[in-house]
Amino acid sequence: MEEIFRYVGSNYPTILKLTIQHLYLVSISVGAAILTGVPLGILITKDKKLADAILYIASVIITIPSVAMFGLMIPVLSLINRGIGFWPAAIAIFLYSQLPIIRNTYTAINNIDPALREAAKGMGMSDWQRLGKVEIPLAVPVIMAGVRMAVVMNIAVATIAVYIGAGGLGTIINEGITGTNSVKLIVGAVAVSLLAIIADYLFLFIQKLLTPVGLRGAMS
Amino acid sequence: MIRLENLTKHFEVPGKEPVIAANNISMEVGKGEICIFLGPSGCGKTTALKMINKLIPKTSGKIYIDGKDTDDLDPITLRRKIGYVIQQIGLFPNMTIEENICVVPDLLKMDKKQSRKKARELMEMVNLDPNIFLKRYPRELSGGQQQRIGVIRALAADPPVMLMDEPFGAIDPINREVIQDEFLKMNAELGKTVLFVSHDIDEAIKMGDKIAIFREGVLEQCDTPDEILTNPANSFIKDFVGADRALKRLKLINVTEAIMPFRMAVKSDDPLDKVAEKMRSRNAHIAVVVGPRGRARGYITKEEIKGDDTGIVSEYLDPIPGTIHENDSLHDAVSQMYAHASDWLPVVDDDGAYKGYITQHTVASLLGETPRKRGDKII
Repeated sequence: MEEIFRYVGSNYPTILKLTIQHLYLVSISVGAAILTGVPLGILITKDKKLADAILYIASVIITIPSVAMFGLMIPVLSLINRGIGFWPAAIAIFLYSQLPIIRNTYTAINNIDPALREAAKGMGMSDWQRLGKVEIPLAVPVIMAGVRMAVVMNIAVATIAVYIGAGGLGTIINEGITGTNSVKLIVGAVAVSLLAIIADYLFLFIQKLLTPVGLRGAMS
Repeated sequence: MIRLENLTKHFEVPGKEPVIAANNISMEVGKGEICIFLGPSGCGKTTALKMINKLIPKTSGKIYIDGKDTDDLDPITLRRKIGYVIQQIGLFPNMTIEENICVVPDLLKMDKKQSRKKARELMEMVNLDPNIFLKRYPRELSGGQQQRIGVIRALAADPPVMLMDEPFGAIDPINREVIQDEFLKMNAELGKTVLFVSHDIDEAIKMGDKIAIFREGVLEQCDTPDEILTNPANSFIKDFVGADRALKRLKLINVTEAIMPFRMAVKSDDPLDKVAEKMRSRNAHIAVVVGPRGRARGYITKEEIKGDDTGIVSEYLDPIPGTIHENDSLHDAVSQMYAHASDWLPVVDDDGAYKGYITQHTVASLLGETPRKRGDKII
């Protein structure tokens, strides 16, 4: 125990640097996934067949083990000289984030009471106005739940990214494994876990903040 | 105001004959009229309604609003000029009541101050306190309150036309009566042209200036409630309005229309011989005893006072069987007569002053007469 504190005490600049690297990787990738996944999730509500196909592909992607996914990235990205490091890791995390974000967006928009859609249409809202004034505000809590899931999941996935040279907190764990240093191993594992837990609560808070006041209390 | 010309809708069914949901519907609704689209489910009444605001595209035919062909308007512009109320209410849960009411004014970029003021006025018209409700959210309101907001939301941009798709269908019967009355009162003031879908014949009779009855996409009859009840165009309509259609007419006729042409008011100290003479000359069966403030105190009958030429009225006074207000319908009057096992009722005004009386006989003969236009007096 004492050794752990001593390690943290003397290495905290490194730990901090790796944590920031870790977060940077996850936030850029999930951020990009929100920008593409939310519009895609809305788009596929227009077409059931397309929705089934997209959700199927996203489900297949999420089942690929992360080590295998990184392995697949290397030869492809080597073509543009980005075979290892930040890019393959970011792209893998981006792909893993698609399912929770697309699926939650799709479900949220699809589950909006058809009466609201009819009222909005009948009152003379254009499709965009309906989306902006009614559908998205009502879907935000569920979309944010998907984002939260993607973030927490990918904080774990990003740990593996150390094997393709993307850095992050996985570095400490890797050093712990290769050097059979249980202190490093524990510090790395605890740091990743803490990060995931904090992110989970943070996004839960954001989710509640973005829930329209008229819906608060109606859902837990 | 609204004219439908050969309005037709075919729904394509893959591999089958298309379903004809509306077949050559032609009709006209005048400015300020409430027209009820009535019929069993699947008769095409809702389809006909939704073609007017282009929620359902028509197959052929023409729709004119205020003489203008709606083909020339894009759906969004058209819909903003037409109030729309649906059975499921459809208030936006993410918006306050005020924001909900002001949706269309805001879409039309109307002056915000003006539209917020209008929202308050409309809320007062449906007896909801704006200070309490404007900043609340829909889920904090009861179903009846929500639908009141649904109705005034449709009125907020002051559209000349309202389309209402079974607006009060999901509200409990007691609240429904209240909200129907409120709407009638409100529209008497606002004078909107209203098309109103219903499957409830009683609601149609109560709310409609006109009733359009549909069956399998065909408009079977479009006329005043009175005309439809008295002269149903065919056996379908006869069955649809029900075997008690004569009784249903009672709701359409006001007590004042059945009141006897003479009051037969006497005082309690009037001598009987004079009263008997008065009754004989009018061929009246009863006389109503009126107190100093004009209220009915009791009554006497011709039989009771027969042969007594020396007494006064008060010796034979019977208590009155209840009273009916002059603005009530004959339906309520007849119901009271049966409740009190009486064949007559004194009619009173707002102050409780005696105005005259009605008898079961006059009611029955009124129902037997040919239909009248609303407001025409029989007597």
